[in-house]
Amino acid sequence: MRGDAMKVIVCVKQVPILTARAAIDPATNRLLPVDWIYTLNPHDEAAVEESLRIREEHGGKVTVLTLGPARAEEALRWCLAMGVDEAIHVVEEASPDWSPFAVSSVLADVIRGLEYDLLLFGKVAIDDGMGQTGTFVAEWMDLPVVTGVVRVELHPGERRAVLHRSLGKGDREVVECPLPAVFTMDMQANRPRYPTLGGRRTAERREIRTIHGRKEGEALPCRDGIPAVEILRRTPPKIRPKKILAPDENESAAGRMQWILSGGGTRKAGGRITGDAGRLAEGIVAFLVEKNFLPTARTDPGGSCTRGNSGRTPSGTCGPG
Amino acid sequence: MKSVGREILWNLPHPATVAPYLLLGVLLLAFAMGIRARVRFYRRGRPEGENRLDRLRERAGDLFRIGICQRRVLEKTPGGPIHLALYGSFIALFSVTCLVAVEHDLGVKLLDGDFYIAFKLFAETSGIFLVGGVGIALARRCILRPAGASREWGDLLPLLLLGSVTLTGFLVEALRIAVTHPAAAPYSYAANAVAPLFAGVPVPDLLRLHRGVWWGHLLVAFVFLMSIPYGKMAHALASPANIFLRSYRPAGTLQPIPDFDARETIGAGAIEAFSWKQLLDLDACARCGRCEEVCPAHATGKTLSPQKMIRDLRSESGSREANRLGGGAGEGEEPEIEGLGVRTADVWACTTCGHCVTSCPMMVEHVEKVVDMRRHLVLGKSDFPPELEQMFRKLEVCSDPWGFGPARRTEWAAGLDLKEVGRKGSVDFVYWVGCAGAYEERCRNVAVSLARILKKSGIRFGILGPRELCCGDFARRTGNEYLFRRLAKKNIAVLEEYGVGKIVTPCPHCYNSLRNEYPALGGRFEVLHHSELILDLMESGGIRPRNALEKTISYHDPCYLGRANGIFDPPRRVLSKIPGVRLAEARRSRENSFCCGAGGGCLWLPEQGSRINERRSSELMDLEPDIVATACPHCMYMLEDGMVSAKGRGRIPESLDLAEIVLRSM
Repeated sequence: MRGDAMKVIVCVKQVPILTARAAIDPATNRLLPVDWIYTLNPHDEAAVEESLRIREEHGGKVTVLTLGPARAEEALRWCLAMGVDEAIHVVEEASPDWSPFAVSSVLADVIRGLEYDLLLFGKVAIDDGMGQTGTFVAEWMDLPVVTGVVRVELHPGERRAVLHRSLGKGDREVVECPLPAVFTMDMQANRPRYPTLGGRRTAERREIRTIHGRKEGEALPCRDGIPAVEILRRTPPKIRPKKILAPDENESAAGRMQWILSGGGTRKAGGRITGDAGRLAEGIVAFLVEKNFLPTARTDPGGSCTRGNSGRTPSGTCGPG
Repeated sequence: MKSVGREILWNLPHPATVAPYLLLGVLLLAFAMGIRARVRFYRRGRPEGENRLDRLRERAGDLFRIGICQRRVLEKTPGGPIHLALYGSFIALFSVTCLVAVEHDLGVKLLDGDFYIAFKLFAETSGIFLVGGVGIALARRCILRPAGASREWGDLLPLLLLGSVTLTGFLVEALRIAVTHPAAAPYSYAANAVAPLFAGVPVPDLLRLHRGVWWGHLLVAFVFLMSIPYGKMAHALASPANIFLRSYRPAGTLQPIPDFDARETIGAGAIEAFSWKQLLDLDACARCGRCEEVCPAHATGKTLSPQKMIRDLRSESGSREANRLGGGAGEGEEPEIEGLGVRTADVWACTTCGHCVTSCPMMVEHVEKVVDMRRHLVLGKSDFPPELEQMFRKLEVCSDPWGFGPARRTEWAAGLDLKEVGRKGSVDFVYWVGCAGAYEERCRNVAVSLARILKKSGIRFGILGPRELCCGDFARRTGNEYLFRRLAKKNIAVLEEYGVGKIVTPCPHCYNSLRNEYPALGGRFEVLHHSELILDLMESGGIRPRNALEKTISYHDPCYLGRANGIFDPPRRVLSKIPGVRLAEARRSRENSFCCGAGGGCLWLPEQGSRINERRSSELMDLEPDIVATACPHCMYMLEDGMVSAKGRGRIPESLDLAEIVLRSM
């Protein structure tokens, strides 16, 4: 193996895709699972593809890790067919109580026992759309994190990476980050490969390491005995009449183009918070409290975690509070 | 009567009695080496997926009819008769030469008296046919230049050699007559007509000239014979073998791959990855161009030509290095499959309509090769059009190519109160809807129409509901054998679990897979196409078309129903049983039907050149029908779209499935 070989761990999730009647179960406030078909989360698949390209360029090893029920094995087999070297399955029953907080603390525990230079995640799972697990793991592991990555340039010799983040509307942010680190990948980053027959055969043969998570009846990782996430109610989105704004015909062509490029009339109301991470977090919390999204009783930071105990909890920025 | 005969090797000094035998030795050696090289080449191929030596009587019969009697060659004019002239007269003259050799070498006096006269007339006439055939063939290739007939040296050289052999033969004869004035001269009527030209020439000059031309004749003839295993003429040996070893599977069926589950690689990315029979095919091709003439991709401006593909494969196979090293595309070049010399765009342009296969007089199997190359691109190199990848992923996750998923598979049947097949023996027929009927908006009406007809007929039938998955036809024909087998095995398991014996389906692609390709995976079912079942029901009185339908209907034969499975008549008979219907037969119909453009997964692929469905739609619209009928959901919407987009037309006919038309009349 070359000196700049990279050991990459990719954390993936098997997600349901909704193909039919979207009905909400009144008991749990969640979608009914009858019509679910499962597949690998596409952002995670892009992360797997990125890890394989990293291995092809720098050498090394790719391990995929998932937490999920027995059926999640299919997602791991797909990753193996794509060409990853090893797969680890933390077998846990599906439960609505699994939150990014709980998942990330279990994943962090497993990752601590492994060697790695880089941790990759998908930026968000397309089922619950939380987009927090990667960031939480970075927090538990005390690693830098870059989210929404669309391009990775690794410099393993210098233990650093240059990353492009997608900011939407074509904007990109280029950041540099020391290694090891956590990157959460955007599916726009690449076009994942389609498994070859050889890949499928390897995937059929290879053994998946399974870790049995909790013992029967053991509680999920939580904060002070309270589940980190609880769905209180679910309301359909408010239907707002959509305004379609066209550029002023009297403007010059250049003027109209500038108007469109600047976002046109679609600018959202509201302010923008700037400053360091602490200020950002305070700003967000203040906003949520002001808008009454946050029950004030649960906002105290710094609680301890029952698992993945690194002595740190995710900060308030996008924390479990 | 004075004995007529001739002195063999007249005017030829001693070397001429020995040298031909030496040359013959060289010829036989070169011939044998050529054959050995070709056999070695075939042996580089992988084993065959089917038994090519069963049904020996049938094979011998086909060898006689198709090979020796040239039945399929003769199906086309003028190529057929021209070839017959060349082939027949060559064999005749070759036998004549052998007869002379027998007389001379074995010392048996054969060429004597009346027999000699008959022999003369026969040889003379054969010679004229051969020269005439060569002349017409050359004129056709070089002057008339019909599409598909190439003017490459490889094609012209055998003709030129054959022509030279015969002309020098006539000349030798004429010179002999000019000197000796034999009694039998009038029977050599062609040579005798030429002989007077040499009247004024002194005899010693004639003798010298005769000797010279004789040697020329001998050499050209030997060169021609020697060249047989090496060039295009290899077809003279390979095509009889190829016809004998032909496949007897239904035309639309791909070979089973019995050892698939044990295989790590699949598909043809190198010449060795084709089976030995596929390699024999390359030599059997005589470049007659019939496949190209009927190819829907070639007709609509794609670069694919089945003939060219075979030729490219053969010429690439000539150089071993190319198979190993042949790199990807250079700058400005179209990407090719490494080492095969076939453009990837061509591999994806094939609709697997099978017309090339059924029109080939040498029984070459083009589609099998195309699919083998697709398998290499999909499952070997994972390098294929992204549109297909979308389809594969949907098939894999949702089990249908549109990606709706099992939960929506019965949406089309809402309100019809259909029975879902449950325990054993509860139904006579399983109604296999197919993904098009279940999901595609336009085709849902076909599914509903057939369901209504079946309900009215009173037969006991049921649907599989969400447990019916895609039959895998698209996956298989786009090279994804893995996915095909996964789907097929699941389907077989479900059908077996329910103990289903009979299946009826409105989709010829499902029909072909279930009937012809599932048996290799252990699923044996009695499958009927809906046109067959509707005809049965009409004949037994189960359904009665009452309402007159005063319409002109033009029926389009779906490739996978007609050419692939020989179902030409049931749909036509169903239509003709509807009162008032007038049938207008398309110019290209039945075995010669022209593809709609959807088959072989091309439905999912972008199309270069002009559109196949528009071409077919215009042809059908030329008949000015009220309705274009078909019996395949994919053909139906391809033609519907094609008739709308084929511009500059007045009234656009309706595109309807057979079931929809029958229901209207009930």
